[in-house]
Order: sequence, then structure tokens, then C-alpha cells
Amino acid sequence: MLEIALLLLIITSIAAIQTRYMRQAVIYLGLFSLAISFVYLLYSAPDVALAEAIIGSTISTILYIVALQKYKIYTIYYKLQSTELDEHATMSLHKQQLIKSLEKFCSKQELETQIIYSTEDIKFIMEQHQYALILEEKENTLVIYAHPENYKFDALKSFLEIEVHPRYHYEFVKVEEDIL
Amino acid sequence: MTLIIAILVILTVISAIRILIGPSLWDRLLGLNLVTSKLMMLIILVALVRKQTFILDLALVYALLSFMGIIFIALFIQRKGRF
Repeated sequence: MLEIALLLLIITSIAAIQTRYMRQAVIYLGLFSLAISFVYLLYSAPDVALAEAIIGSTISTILYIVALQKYKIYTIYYKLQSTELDEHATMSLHKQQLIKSLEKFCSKQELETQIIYSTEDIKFIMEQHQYALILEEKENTLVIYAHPENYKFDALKSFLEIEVHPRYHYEFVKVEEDIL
Repeated sequence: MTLIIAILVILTVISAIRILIGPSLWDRLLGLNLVTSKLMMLIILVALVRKQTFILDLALVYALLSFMGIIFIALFIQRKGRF
């Protein structure tokens, strides 16, 4: 019984470090605190196990969830053509205006913006990188892809409907994905 | 008694495996709930074997508090990141 609990400790702690999604890490840590409190009990320290049960399974879970809610960096990928990414080429005025309004939105929501200009394919970005938004221009419409974990997307929609851009129409696409 | 403890340990390990491999977050939450309840029974059995009644307090605290974290995670997912 003790050996199994100790094995479970090692496996869950490694899983909590290795996982890509933070919500899964919170659940792994919940299992970790359950197992370690049982181990404390088996080592005949029930008072420590009591403290671990109160702190580990209740307070720290809520604390991590609240911290996850205030996760602040907002990564925006802007897909450009390869000719536009030249060092001497200057960005067109429309793009600068768009980026300025996006930054205004982010500062309103108390997020830290990180804009990355990229020429990679959209599918490649979706699979390989952590992103919140991907912007792509098509003629006069601007397609905005949002990550399924992007909780500020509805606020962004209503913000962009108020701040109308002179050139682009917006098209919103929410990338569907199962909750992992 | 040994048989009951062995069965409970096997069930706990199966639920823990469900947490580790579970494809969606709901499976993981359900697995956490199952592990909590099984662990509660194990603690009660340990108290019975060792004949120490104060270990029962630990099981009581688990029963009263363990659902809080699960409820908060579920609320977090359901309301898309807000409380």
C-alpha cells in the first residue's frame, strides 16, 4: 500500500511538470496532495496529514485556479506575406492602426500584448505554437482565429464592433477543440 | 480485511490511471472525485486496523472539504475562465 502511494507520488509530480495545459496540472497537483497526505498518515503523522488535506485539496486548488484566471500574456500572431517581412519595408498605415486598436483593447483588459509577425502557415502555427489570436488578411476582410482557451474573445468581438476600422471587415472564427 | 484493502487499493490505482490518461478534462475531474472517495474509505480502514480513533478525524475533514476544489474547477471551466 505504501509503495503504491509513493509510486503514485512520483508519477503525478512528473505529469504535473510535463503537461502542456495548466488546468491539467492543477488536477495532477490535487491528486499529488491526496497521495502525499495518505503517505503522511501511513508514516503515522496524522496531524500533518490533516493540515495537508485542508491546505492541499482546498486552498491551493482555489489559489491556482484564481491565478490561472489572471494569466496575463496575450500572444497575437499576425500572418504576413514574405515580401512584407523585409527589413526595409514599412508597415502600411492600416495595419498600424489595427495593431494600435488591438493594443488598446489589451490595455483595457489589463493584458500584456505580445505581437509576433510570421509568414508560417496557419495550420503550422495552430499546431506548434501557443497563441491567443491569429490574424490573417484576405482582400478586404480580416479573419481572426481565436484559441479555444481564449476567454476574452467575446469582449474582443464587442470591442471591435464599436471601433470600426476604415478598411477591414472582421470575420471571427473560433477554433473548435475538445477540452483537454 | 486484507482482501478489502487490496480491492480498494486496486480501485484507487484504476481511478488514478483514469486521471493520468483521461482524454478530456471532465474525465480527469471524475477520476479525482473517485480517488478522493476511495482514499476516504482507505483512511477509515487504516483507523480500524490500527485502532486509533483520531485518524477518523482525517476522513471527516476529507469528506467535508474535498468537494470544494472539484466544484471550483468545474465552475472555472463552465464559466470559461471567470468565477
